[in-house]
Amino acid sequence: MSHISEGLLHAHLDGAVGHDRAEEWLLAEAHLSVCEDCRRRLDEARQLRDAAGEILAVASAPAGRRPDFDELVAQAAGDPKARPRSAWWNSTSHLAWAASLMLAVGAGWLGRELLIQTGQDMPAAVLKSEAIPQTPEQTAVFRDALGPDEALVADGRARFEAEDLDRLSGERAAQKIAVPPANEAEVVMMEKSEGRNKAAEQFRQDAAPMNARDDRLEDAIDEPAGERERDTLVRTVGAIAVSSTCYAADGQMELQGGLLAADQAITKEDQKNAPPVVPSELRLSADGTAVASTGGRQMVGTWVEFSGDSVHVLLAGAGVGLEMRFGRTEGGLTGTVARAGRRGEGIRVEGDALEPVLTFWLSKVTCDEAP
Amino acid sequence: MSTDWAHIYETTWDDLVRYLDRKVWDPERARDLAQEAFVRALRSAAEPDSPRAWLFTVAGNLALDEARSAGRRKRHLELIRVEASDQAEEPDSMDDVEMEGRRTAVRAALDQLSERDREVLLLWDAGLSYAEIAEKSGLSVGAIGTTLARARRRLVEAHHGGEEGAHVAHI
Repeated sequence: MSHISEGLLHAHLDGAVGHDRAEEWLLAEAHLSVCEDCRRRLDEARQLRDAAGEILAVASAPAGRRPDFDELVAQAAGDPKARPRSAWWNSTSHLAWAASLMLAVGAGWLGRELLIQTGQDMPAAVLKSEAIPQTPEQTAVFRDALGPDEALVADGRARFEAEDLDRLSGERAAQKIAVPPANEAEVVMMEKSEGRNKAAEQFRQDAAPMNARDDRLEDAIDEPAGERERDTLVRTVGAIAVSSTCYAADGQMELQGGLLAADQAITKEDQKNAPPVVPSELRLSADGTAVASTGGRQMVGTWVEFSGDSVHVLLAGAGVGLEMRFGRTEGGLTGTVARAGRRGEGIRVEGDALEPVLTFWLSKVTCDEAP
Repeated sequence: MSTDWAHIYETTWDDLVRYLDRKVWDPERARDLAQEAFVRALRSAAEPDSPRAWLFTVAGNLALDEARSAGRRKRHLELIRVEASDQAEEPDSMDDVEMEGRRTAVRAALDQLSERDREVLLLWDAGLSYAEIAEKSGLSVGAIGTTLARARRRLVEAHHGGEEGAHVAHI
């Protein structure tokens, strides 16, 4: 036989040549007995393995005290008192944490947390978005940014029909979206029963890092809710957070988007072309007005083509035009930035080119009036 | 049969902390993240074929998130550290300084590896089997040995090169 591959030598040294490769290793052993060169390579592989192990061992910090397993079980069961706090969390009041988030302009996921923790402090203009007209200046910014071919913008009005909301409500009920699963386990079961596709799995994987903050979000929700929060139903379900029981044709719908994998596949060129403006809150009014809030900034625009499956939003503000589409996937409601541009620069990236770059997921849906 | 997370916790805690520490280079945060990963495991009704690979995937995602948010939190943490240093009883001992220097050298060497090679090496060092590493990384089991061979060589070469560089710098 030819010389033994380095991978097989290392697998052998690691004790990882299993039954499925037993025959391969038998042949290799026979070869070793007659091949001086491979015996030398086996020695070298052993030295390399040991040297790498020693280098890594040098960097090992002590694992420290292992928390009692029962503590973790209690914590997993949702007992906040059982949750040992990390050092930096201990050192930080919730208020300070929320305040530090103010700096994270454009980080939609953080924005969501900020809103829920400090909801009463949101600017009144955001909470009453119907009062905000789209100024000629903003319309111009949007038109400049997205191009003269965008007739929808020139209209300045949304193509909205009341029955769209009714249909949306009916379809969601039919698809059991309106009743959020209570915990991650149910989502897992739901996914299994409905069959996973690659997109849903990818969504879940991508979103998984955000799970880290679910606990803090739940903390905030557990606190006494203000008047505004009374009709708000929020569930965080693993990486997916979808909620609503009410859709009123003459009310408002509020969609909050969390940023999913913001730095995923963004090249320097993309960053230059695509303004990193990602709404942390998006409020859609029945009159077609759309108001997005990103940190302390606002973008005003219109929303169009609202159906049970998607909503198409056009926004403009601060020299930036943004076109987004939100739709339902197996992983929940997600959104993508379809196009974006700066004033006077036109569209640098066309059509679908931006879609993989910024992806949202909608974490909360509320309306002011129950149906 | 349900996953025996208590047993996995007993046998895997140290390895998981070590793995995470080499991702975030902060032992305290590594312990927090390890704890978080186990809490997620306990909350989930998932019955993964390979619980440890699943656990390390969750932990890896947490570490990734940690890296993403590190920049945002950096300023805040620095403020906390300033406060903490005001209360510090003693300065770092020489042992601590030396240890930190070693860790920095290893970190620099690991940074020379490709992301995939580094991940496979760290998973192996954390005690995962070839099958578990394959499960987590998406590589075939047969490719793990080759990947590990390459990762080990590059780590040793990079670390050796770094040490030589350090000696030159001291002269």
